[in-house]
Amino acid sequence: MNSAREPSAASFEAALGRLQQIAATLEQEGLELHEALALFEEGVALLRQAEQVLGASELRVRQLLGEGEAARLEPFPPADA
Amino acid sequence: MTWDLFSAAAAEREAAARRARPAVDNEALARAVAAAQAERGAGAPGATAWLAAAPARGEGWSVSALNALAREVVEGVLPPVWVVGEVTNFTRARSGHCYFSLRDRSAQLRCVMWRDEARRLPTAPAEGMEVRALGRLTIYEARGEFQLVVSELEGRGEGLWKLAFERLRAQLDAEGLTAPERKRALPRCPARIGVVTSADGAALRDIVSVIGRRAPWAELVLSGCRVQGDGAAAEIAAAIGRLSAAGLVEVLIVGRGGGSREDLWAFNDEAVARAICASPVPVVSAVGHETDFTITDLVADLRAPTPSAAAEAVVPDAAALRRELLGYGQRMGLAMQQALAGARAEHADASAVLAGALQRGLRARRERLAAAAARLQALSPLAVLARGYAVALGADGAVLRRPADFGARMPFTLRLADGSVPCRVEEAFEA
Repeated sequence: MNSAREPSAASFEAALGRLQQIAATLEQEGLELHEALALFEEGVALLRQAEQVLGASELRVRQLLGEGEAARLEPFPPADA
Repeated sequence: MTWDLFSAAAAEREAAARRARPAVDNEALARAVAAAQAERGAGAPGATAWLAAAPARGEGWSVSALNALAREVVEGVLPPVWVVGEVTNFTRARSGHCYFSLRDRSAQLRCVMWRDEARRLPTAPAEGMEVRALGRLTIYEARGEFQLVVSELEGRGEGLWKLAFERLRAQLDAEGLTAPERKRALPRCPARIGVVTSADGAALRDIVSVIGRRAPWAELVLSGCRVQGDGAAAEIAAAIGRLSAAGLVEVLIVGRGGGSREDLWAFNDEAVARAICASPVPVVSAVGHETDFTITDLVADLRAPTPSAAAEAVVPDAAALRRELLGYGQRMGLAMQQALAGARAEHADASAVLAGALQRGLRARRERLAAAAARLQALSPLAVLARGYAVALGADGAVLRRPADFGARMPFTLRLADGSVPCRVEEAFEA
């Protein structure tokens, strides 16, 4: 599968879940400062990553052709159409 | 005699019958049938064949010839007709042909539906079901049976379709395939979404448009198939199967745009239902319009009223996601500020405590020192000597306490408050 966009899109849901967790943990009392800082940094990195995914501009559509071993994805609509 | 009486009566009956029998011109009959045949454009078997089959005057027709003749007459006279009646004894032979009778209160009609037509039936009609059949009358020559060859059979109102739907639904219910606890939750933000529909249908256009607007980061994987007509159900089931096997997507939309009940019928097919149940990822059904309800809807994890609604259901809105992300950012920022403020306050508190402890420690030590000094002062022999007392010390510095400690002529020292005086014993003390 091509393009660097896929892993980030695939982890988008996980990123959202983790962000929610981080926000909730940070809001709890009694967190050591160094722990809070580490969480904050992780959260900011996730936010950036998620925003990058959200910035994608065009939906990709591909068509699954063939079966079993011969299964392949082709652009849709086909380029020659 | 009985025998004679009987034969006489029989002979009498025969004679009467002979008198009553109309004169039949077989040749004329054959010509009439052939002419009728020619008139409606049916070639075979032709006038000569009928003339050849017609028996000579005074002879009888063969059964085969007569049945063939009767069939020609029956088929020639009546155009295809619609008949209404109750179905009885419906059976589907191994060959796929279906046999049954139609009846009303006083009569029955044998019917046959050949395999190709029977395949289009949504299901077998139930015993006693009111139906309407289109067919042409014929005679099954081998048995001389009068029958209707049915090309279309439909229940009154929604009859057969409803029956087919209810039968499959009952079966799937019994297998637990429609149970609410089987429904899986959809992923919140799927990166890849499978779509099983026609590659050139309105449904695909709607789905692409909605997901492109709401979640352009996603990717659609189309598994194309025909969605109506003969064989469509098998194609839909296969398209679902291919996507399942490829393991590419996190959620699946199966559907098509609106259409007649017959157009949507493929989505009431058992093979499609089972393919959906076997899907490893959640399936959203999107068949027709709001009011259309299919078996696919029953077994899917979520029923969407339309393809556009299905698209909305599988992806979150980008704007809503941005708001959510912003919310996390704000919460994290605020919590971090508080954590820092807390840490600063704690630091200040700790310093104050430390300083206080230090000071308190010092003061206590100073006081203890003063007390110790006072006690030392009180115990000091110098204080006693200062009051005018003296102490006698031997040469080795030991205190001489008793008269016996003083030997004759022994030197000793008298220790006074501000100095010492060397002394000598004049005379030893005698007890």
